[in-house]
Amino acid sequence: MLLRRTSAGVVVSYGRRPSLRACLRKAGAYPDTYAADVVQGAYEWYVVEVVDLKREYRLYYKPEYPTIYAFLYRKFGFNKADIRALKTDLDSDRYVGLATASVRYGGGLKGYISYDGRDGLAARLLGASWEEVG
Amino acid sequence: MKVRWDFVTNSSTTSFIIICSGKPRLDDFLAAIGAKAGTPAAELFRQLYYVLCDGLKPVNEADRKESENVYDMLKDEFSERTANRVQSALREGKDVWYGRLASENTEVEAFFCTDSFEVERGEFYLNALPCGW
Repeated sequence: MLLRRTSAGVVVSYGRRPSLRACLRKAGAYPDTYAADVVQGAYEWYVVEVVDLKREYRLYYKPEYPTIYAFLYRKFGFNKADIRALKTDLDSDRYVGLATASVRYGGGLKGYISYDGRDGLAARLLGASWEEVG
Repeated sequence: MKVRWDFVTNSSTTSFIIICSGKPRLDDFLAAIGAKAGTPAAELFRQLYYVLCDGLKPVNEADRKESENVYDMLKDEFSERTANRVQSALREGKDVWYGRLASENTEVEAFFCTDSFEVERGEFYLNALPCGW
């Protein structure tokens, strides 16, 4: 799994969706503990509550935008460097999702871990790679 | 949970207590938290451990603010249950430590300053329930 900070938010991509159990194991958090609660918060934010960008385009926006790149550029505000960095994933079978900001404030722990520079912390907890784009 | 009626700013400090024998030990803390040694979770919580230990005071030396005694201060800041637990622990000769977390300091401190939690394992007990926004 790879997390990337882009101009539109944090993008998560993976070939096979990681399970919560696998993330807990990678993080080193024992089940039913506070450490597991923290890792689960990160998991929900970056794996569960994300916008599936390819599906969103295919189901709702394909007639409106000629390509998924144009869709990401105009609809979500990704810049050209972001789109270049995502191109390989977009053209492959990999899942590409955007962690939205809708619960950034008032969302408790899971909102807070994505606030400002803390995404790298969440990536470490999920055993994901972290990349800054642009 | 506490409801604050006065002026609320975008920064916060919250208090916590630790009950254990002697000074809090890192391995007891990690075991109570549920983080396996040598993993990313342990790395994160090791940082939290050092933040918690920085400025830790015996509860009897804590700033009681307007409260007449430690019991009332704990009852006000935490709960009656916590105040009773601390009283019992002190009677049993255990060590009770009091500290504060601030949202304006390090990333890790800010992170945990906003989460309400309580962990216990063996003789180690950490109550950070007043934390949270």
